[in-house]
Amino acid sequence: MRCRTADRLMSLQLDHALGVEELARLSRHLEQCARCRAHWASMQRANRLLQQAPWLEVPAGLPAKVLQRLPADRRAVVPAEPVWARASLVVMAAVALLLVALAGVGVLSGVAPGQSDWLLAQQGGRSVIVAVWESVILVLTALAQVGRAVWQGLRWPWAPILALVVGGAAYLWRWLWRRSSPV
Amino acid sequence: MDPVEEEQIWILRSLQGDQQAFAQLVSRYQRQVYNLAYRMLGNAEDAEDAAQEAFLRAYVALSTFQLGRKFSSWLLAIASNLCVDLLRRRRYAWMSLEDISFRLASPAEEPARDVLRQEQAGQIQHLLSRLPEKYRLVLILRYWYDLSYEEIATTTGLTLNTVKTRLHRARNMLARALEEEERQCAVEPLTG
Repeated sequence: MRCRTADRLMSLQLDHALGVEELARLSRHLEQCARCRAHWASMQRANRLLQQAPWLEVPAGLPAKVLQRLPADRRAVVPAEPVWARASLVVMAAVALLLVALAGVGVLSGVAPGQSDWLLAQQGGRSVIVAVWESVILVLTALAQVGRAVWQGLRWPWAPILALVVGGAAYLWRWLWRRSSPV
Repeated sequence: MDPVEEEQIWILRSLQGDQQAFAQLVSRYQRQVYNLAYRMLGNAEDAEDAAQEAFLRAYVALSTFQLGRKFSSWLLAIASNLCVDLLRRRRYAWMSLEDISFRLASPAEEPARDVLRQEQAGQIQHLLSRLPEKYRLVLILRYWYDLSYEEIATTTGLTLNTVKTRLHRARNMLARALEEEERQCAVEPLTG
């Protein structure tokens, strides 16, 4: 018997769910394998600890407290906004900051010596940098709103995935920006 | 009147909006729900909040309970789901700033050694808290509630094989954690 099999059988044995034959195979393996013997000993110790673990007293007045919180109409309970919905806002802010930083890096690294004239060229009284910056902020705000709306409709595992996707898109965008900028 | 019959009557009355009848159900099952929440969440305050919340959810969802099934299993399933949800939220809560400042202010890892010196009840709670919640849950249902593999499967919505695998892994993790702590205990006199 392999140690992995023995390991699985040990757990079943603790639940008395092992047949006679399997039990015999397990004991034979334990006789031969010192490592499994040691592991079996600590599994048994853990098992005893669990069996001896006490039940705790309930704080007084729990039924009364529940009664107080019961809605008059059984359908009138509105679930509270989950924490992850609020957390997603923080993630969104972090992603937005990252995007802004990336955009900043993109803009700055796009400035090659001698090219600053182009970037600082006046466009209706504003430099290109300011215009780009403002549009970035605008896009980010929109993204944050959409992201939050989407997240509220999705379950939590999607939050980090979406964050990654948005982050990746920002990176790609920066890369394209650099390639297309006249350096 | 036999307890099961009595319980059915309480459930029917609760369904009609009789809150006192529901309070009877709470009294009967508070110990089970509170202990599950305590073992999952690791402290009395969170456990009490979670127990209250679980009963509230049960009250709202009572019409989905099929009379004739085991009420305790249904209730434990609600409480288990709630606790797993709460633990997930706790894991994601690090993203909120207040929580970060709270964590910075308190020496979170320090009490680990003190727990070792406490009685066994503290030790088992400490060991449990080191397991991921899905493994913690099957151990609790197995040991505190003495549920069979089948009952754990119905309560958690897992397959029988997954239950066996999780119990097996959970016990392995627990045994390793125990060995580790015993090693730490053994070297403690040397390190002072």
